[in-house]
Amino acid sequence: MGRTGLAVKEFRTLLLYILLGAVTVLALAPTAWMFSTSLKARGAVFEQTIRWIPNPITLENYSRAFSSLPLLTWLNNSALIAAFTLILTLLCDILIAFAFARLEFRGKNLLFMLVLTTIMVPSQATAVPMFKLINWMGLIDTKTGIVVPQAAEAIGVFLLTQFFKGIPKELGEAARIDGCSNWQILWKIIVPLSGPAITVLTILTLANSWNNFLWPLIVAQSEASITLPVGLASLMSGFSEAAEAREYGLLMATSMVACLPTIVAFLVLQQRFIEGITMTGLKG
Amino acid sequence: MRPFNREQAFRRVLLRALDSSLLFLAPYFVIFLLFKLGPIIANFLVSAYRLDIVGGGEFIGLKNYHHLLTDRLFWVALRNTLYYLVLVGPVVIIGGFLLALLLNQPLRGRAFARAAVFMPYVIMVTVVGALWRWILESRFGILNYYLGLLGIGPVYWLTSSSTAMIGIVIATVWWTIGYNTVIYLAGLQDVPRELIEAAEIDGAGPLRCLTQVIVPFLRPTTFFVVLTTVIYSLQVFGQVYTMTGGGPRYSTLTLVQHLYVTGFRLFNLGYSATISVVLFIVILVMSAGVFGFLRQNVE
Repeated sequence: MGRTGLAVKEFRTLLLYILLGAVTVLALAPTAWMFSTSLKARGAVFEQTIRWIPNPITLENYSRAFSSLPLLTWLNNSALIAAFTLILTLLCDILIAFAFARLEFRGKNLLFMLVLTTIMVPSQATAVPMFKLINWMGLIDTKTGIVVPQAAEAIGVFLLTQFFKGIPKELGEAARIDGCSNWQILWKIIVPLSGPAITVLTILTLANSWNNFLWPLIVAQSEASITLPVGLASLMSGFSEAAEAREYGLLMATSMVACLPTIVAFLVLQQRFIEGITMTGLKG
Repeated sequence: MRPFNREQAFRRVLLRALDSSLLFLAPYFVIFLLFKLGPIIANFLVSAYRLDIVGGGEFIGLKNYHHLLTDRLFWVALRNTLYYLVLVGPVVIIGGFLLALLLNQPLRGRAFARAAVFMPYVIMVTVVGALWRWILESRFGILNYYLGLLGIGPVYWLTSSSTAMIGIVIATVWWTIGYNTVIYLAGLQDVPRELIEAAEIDGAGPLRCLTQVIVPFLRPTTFFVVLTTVIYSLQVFGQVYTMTGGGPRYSTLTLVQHLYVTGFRLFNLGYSATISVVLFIVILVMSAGVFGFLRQNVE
């Protein structure tokens, strides 16, 4: 390689680093601006010069968010709903995935296909009948009404079935000869070996429930069952145009509280989270 | 004959029950029938009714579908949804691919950049809406401030009907592009090194390597990315609901926003179901189109 060849290569590397830097900054800047705005005093939000580091830094917006808004109730509802959705989803999916992967019964393949095809149907396409059903059951404006339909998602069934199928059959068969029931084989052998798949499903279920918007928006009507995304939306639509302009600090502080759990969880579980996305192709 | 032992008999019954497939199937299947399959089928039926919140409603046959034809807002919503897809689709698909190529280069800080690009995707949609409403604010928004430094603007992003959809698209691209990037990154890991080396030995430059080796190899990935992008774009709702509410002057009204307002604000549930049937059909037709296009390309 001649001198010019080397120069071209160096130039290319430099260009790539500039691109990499620009992309990173563009990806992070909006979130950073949200954080920065949330730390500004009321008047400072509308200064003519853009200040990324607020002067003075104040937690006033956060204390106002917690004292003047039902933010704790929203947080509490979102957390409870995510936890119950997770428990119900894991229980149902583990059981049926075991049946699909390990048991023989009539119509198995047909049933599996039926479950899988519903992945294609958008949730909006069932909103009206679901609303009537939930209404008929008396579950409008309850956490149960928000949780239970979310446990019917088929993606977890698919994920776990594929994983269970990959566990060597001999492991179960040996236990069977020793007199174990299917129930024991599932909980004592299959589940303990399925850590990675269950972790991925856990992360996806929690993130989806935490971020879910349309269904809780339809079901939740009073403060008692409103979740964070719905509460935040109601906060925005509750402002008059003039008030909204004054309240961006409050809005950004509330937003920070709402998305901090998923951002922290993502940073901690990054590798697994991305694994989960590529494995399932799921979008919240 | 052994004497009857209640405890033993009970244990036998319990063991049998724990062993039957029905026990494993029942919990998911009950929820699935009631809250997934049932509503999917019921939705078609409901679209033949005039239905509000209470009561059984009145059977009106195809009248709701007839109403669609004359509902100006339905056509506006359909057009806006397709317009949104045309704007968002190419950017997040091609952009996602280019980002994946960049993030796959052996550069320092690459892991950090990957995390940064994907991070917005874990933020909930209403936060994305609130944040971008603030960024796109016309008088005090930071985007107009920087555009002003370049001598552009001010742009009335979300309050002018010619730019509101662009504003929603910008927010969406920021929010979701990392998802496609991650899918493409996973695909790039699978490209065999030998394939690229063989091409290089044959004298192919980086560009020819890209177009003749990498892109064809990633065809299944591209298929998946295009399909999911189309399906999810047609369902756009949260950003619209929080950023513009469908306005100004219906310029950002999309199909799901229209069906939400019709069903759950105006409580015209039967007609709302009709719009969702159309949405379902549009998604089905477009997905079939993507399938067909891929097959044609492979043959």
